Amino acid sequence: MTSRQRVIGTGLLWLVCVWAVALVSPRVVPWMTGTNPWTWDVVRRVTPLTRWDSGWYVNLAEAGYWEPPTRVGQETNHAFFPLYPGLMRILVRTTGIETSLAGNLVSAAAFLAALLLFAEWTKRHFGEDRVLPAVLVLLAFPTSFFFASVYTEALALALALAAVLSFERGRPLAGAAAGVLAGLTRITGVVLAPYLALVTWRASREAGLSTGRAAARAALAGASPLAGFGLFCLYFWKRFGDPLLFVKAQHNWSGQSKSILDGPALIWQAVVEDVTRGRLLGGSPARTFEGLYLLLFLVLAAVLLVEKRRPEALYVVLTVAIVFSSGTFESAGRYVLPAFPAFAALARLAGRRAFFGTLVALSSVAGALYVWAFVHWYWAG
Amino acid sequence: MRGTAPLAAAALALAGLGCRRSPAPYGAHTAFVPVAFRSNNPGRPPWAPRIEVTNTSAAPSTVRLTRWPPDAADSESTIFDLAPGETRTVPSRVPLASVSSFFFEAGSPFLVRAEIVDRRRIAPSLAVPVLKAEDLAKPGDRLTLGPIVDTPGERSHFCFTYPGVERDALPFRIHLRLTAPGGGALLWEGTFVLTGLPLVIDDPWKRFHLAPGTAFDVDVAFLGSARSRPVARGMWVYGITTDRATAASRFLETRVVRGSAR
Repeated sequence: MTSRQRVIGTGLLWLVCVWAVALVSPRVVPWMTGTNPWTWDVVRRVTPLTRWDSGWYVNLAEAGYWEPPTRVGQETNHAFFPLYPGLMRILVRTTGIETSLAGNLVSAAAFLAALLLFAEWTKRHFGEDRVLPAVLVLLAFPTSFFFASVYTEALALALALAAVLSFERGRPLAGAAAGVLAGLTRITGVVLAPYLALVTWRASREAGLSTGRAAARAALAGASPLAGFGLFCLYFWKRFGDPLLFVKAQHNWSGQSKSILDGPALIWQAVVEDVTRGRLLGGSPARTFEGLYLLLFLVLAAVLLVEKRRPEALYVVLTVAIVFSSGTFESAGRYVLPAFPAFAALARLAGRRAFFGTLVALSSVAGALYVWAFVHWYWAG
Repeated sequence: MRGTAPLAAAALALAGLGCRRSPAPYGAHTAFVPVAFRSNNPGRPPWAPRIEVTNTSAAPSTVRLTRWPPDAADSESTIFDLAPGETRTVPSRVPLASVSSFFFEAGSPFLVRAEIVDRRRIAPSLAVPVLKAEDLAKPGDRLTLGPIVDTPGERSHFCFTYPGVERDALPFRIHLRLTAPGGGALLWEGTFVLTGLPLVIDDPWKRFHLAPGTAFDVDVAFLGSARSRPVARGMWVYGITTDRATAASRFLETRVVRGSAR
């Protein structure tokens, strides 16, 4: 069995396990469930791995973008990027399958592609021995089930890896195409820009290109996800007359008026509130865990920095910074998922086999609990 | 690539599971009640639907009712076994304060009567027009009604509604035109996807940014399923105008312009 087959086999097995837990979950303690905000027609048809923000992607795939928001606190689908729901729509229109299932299939296909690319990237940067532990860390991370859900994480990860690997291998056009698509997938595409510029600069110089050509390639690489985001803005400008509608929709999402600069202060207020009111594990456990994930990823960024993997460290830090700018820890455990270098760094724990095995096992159990909570309409990220 | 074969197989299997189609027709005879409504809002009449089904054939009959939406999963579909000539009151089993539709099907003729009643018997009852499946608009057809008014004496609203057997084709896509009464000036126009449940436009002036009190006609072109699925029965739009003083309501006439007739 080749390394690629082992990786794809592991990925398929993981998908089967996640789906098995998701399908069994409604029968496990069925009376314990959160408030389901969706209407009857949607509830009765969507898959169990379609909850919370998945509804916006289902809606976008079926209905497209609505009229722009007119007031703060009005939630509209302009806060979501178009590529993922666009792929769902193509699949639905060509096959007639249920829209949420189309999302799950897009996610699964993207995730298997991402897993192969992640294995290749890890082998390239850390050696063959790190590949399987890194894949295991990624799969066993408690919030990794989002890769199988109707969310953009799998597609964002696949495109980020495709862009990075293409630029590293000296295939700028393929890399730029993946970068543009990443910029059309989710906001993490924007923080991919400096990472792509830096890895392209590094790869170009190692390949013996002149400073000028290396700089040109780095600029192309860095510009590609920004170009994707720019296309998104251009579309909103042409259609609704507001190129920054995405920013406006994000801003309006919250009931309070705030800016990116207010983000860290709002998060600090929430942390102080949780600590002083003793709500760490009682009132808002998901938020507490999400704070811990952020800390973990900051530590892993430091590890990458110590290993002199500066572009990778920067990418992880910027991914975490997105959460801090949002003003809330909510979804942090999901937002960090495309920060793949952190998973490869965490896999160095595989040197301590017993500890690593225990960690993976415990994390997998936590992952199963997350799936149960998600299926039962509890906030999971 | 060999590694993709299991993935393709799994994807096809899942896709097969996800390719739901509308349920098979239960019989050639149909009745569509576009609105069943119950409410308990303070200060308003406590409305409740009163619906009866009668077997008008000379033989025992089985009638299937599909509620959309129901108040619970197990009341979405109900089967009534009716003796010849028997009349049965249909339990409403619809959620509070949201419009549902009832769709009846049977292999032999039957009659449905529907009204919305004030449980205190103060406001007059509203007889609901019962349609046949053939009356509903199909993709390519247009539905027109009006005028929708908002005056000191009266106020109207309108609603997009569909039989629950369309659940696997929903949501529907429409092109909506609001014009001044009698085919006058265009006031608003747009293409959009409806919700998957009956959608009441309670305050069209706010929703479509019209000047308060502007009277208008509604023209709906039915474009089809937003999920590219075949539409089995179709959709309907009804309008209701209510007298503010007496709470007496009346349905506006909805006209269907078939696609082939245009």
